[in-house]
Amino acid sequence: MQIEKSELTIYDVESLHKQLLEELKNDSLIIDMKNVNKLDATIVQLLISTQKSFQESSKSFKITNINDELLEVFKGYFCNTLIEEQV
Amino acid sequence: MNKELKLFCEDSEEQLTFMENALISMQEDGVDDESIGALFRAMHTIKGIAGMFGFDDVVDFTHTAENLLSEVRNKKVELSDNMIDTFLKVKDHTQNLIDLAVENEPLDEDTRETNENLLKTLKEALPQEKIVEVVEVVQNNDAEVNQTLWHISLRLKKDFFTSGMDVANILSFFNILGTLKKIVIIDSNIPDLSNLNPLESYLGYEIEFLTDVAYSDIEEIFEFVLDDVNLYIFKSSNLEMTKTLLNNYQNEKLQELLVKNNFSNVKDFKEPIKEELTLTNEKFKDKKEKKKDKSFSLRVDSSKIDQLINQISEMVIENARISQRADNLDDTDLSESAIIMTDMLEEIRTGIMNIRMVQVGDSFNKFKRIVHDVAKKVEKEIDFEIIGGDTELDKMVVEKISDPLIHMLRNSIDHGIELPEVREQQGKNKIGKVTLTIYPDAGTIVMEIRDDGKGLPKDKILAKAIEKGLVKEDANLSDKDIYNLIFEAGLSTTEEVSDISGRGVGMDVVRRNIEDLRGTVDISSTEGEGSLFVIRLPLTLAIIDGFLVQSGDTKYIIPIEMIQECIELDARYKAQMNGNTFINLRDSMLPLLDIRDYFNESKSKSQRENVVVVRYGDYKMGLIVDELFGEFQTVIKPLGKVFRNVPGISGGTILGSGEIAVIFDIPKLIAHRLKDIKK
Repeated sequence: MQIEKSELTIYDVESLHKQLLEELKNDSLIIDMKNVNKLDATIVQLLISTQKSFQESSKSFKITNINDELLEVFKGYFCNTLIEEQV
Repeated sequence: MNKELKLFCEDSEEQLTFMENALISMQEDGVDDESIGALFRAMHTIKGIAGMFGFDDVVDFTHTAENLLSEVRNKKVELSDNMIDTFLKVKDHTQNLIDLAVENEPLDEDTRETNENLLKTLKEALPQEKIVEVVEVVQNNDAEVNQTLWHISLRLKKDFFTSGMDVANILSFFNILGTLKKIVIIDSNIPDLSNLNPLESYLGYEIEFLTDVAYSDIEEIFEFVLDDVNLYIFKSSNLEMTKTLLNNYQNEKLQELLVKNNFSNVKDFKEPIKEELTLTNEKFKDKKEKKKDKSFSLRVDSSKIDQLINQISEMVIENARISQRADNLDDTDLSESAIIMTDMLEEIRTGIMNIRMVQVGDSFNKFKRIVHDVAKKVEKEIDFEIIGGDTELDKMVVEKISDPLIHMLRNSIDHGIELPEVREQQGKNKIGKVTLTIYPDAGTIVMEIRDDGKGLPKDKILAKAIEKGLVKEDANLSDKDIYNLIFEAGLSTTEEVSDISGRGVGMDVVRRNIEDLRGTVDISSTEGEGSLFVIRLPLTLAIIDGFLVQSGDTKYIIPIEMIQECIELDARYKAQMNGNTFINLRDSMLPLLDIRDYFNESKSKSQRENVVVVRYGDYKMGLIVDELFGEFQTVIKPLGKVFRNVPGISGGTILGSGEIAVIFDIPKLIAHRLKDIKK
């Protein structure tokens, strides 16, 4: 799943939530963040929730192509588990 | 300037204004606890925020001031008149320090000297033992041995995201204030996707934070979100609080998490309790209640409001077109809609205008300070009073009129009011009285500056004006004309030039500023008894309620607030006139101005002639026009340069039909007519 927008905020979180619920039907999910430079706390929370949901059903979940700018954003939220997946 | 810094500047400016107002009110009405509280809060708040940005000079200075104020608040030190003066200086100096810090500039020599002097004065005023403590604190800061390890537990409430604050921004302040030793995100409350409401927040953080700042400074990080979070701040060594915290968040298995992340308070579990509880529920409630007391207000960029007004203006014009079209089509439904629309636009416009309206007192209270300073400098005693401070006026007008008013007040004090000894000799009260009165009058706002000083020296002014070649020696001038000479450039009658006024620049600028606001200024004075300056300003700048009339081929608009009545110029009046340009209106003389003559209009097509009686200030005049159309809301559009020197026109507007109408500048027309009469 590739994200096209460069900035994800509270305004995108609901539609992204729906998309992710759809993705939950699959066996695995890789979110490609190549285009993303910024996101806010609602998105971080949504990603953590997604990660949890996939882990609960022993499916694999990955966020890839986090650029440096985005990495700093993630670090700002101290959401280590999301970034650890990446490494 | 980044967002936080801008916020800081605005906040500190506001706090300093509170401080100044409190000081001035105590100077007048004596010391009271509430005002002292305001002083303390101002210094305390500024110190706190300045600390976040690392503005050391500001922090050190406000810290000392805060210390002293704390003693004042605890009634250990008395707030004398001298001390109020000192704190006024403290206020100015703090603003200076902040300006320099924000610009990232070092202290210049003057500022440094002021800094040292004020610090010395403040420290001397402190009770003896306190000085020792201050020194200690400073030393401790320098050596950075006074750092404390704090535990901060943060849970975002469900609707945190609606606060608009970003938690990452809040967290980033920790690194400015100290060292983030440990931070763990609490994500165990986040449900899985199917149970997640993506707009609610479930996040939390546990933080261990090493810093030398006080509890209140840490709490201030969360100042804007206090209602949207569950927050605990306590010293890591506080065993009781740690227990409470772990108990509260048992479901999160917080203890395991903290142990896993080596938080020091769970390691120290066996150590005895050293510290008192720093955060109790009561204190928390207190803070919240205080917050609620504050009336809710918004800071909005004024350009946004200007833009709204412009858009409304365009809508007003467009709506006028719709009405016109509806009339042409004889469509009653459309006509009715247009009328309703007009009403609604009117309401919106009034609403927007109201946003811009501020009570003049808020802004003019600073004059008290200026009067106080000037009076002190020229060694005069002044009782200054503002009457009608609750009058509302466009914020922009208030700001633009401030400087001219200050100038005139200074003049009144410096030139008008005599020295106390002189006043006593003349049998006057040795305290000079200066009043600034503000009141609305016939669509204008009037500001009067009255003093009971020596009045304007008519002969001196005239002599000086003749000397400077401003008037001819044989000119026959009325008292008013002579007084108005003081607005001419280069006229100053004071032999000695003080640094307050009297350089002969200024009054001409004052008049220009007032005229730029479409206002006028008048002077009356009695030698030995005092002077009165009357400034008249229009209420609004952009849109006016006008009255549409026609003369010859042109349509004109008269500001409706200035209209007193309309009468028909019938045969009876015409007989009275008998070639003159006056009529007898209910036994008083009314000068007339024939618009057709004045603007060289073509001959009238209508049989009737009408007179619109307008009033401005003390003067009345009748305008002879052909036709009256009635009330018309209109937008003032500036006319091009060609029209700049046409007297009697303040702007133009576009009518619904697409025609252009000219807006009268009634004050100018009246002035013109008066000159005519004198001739």
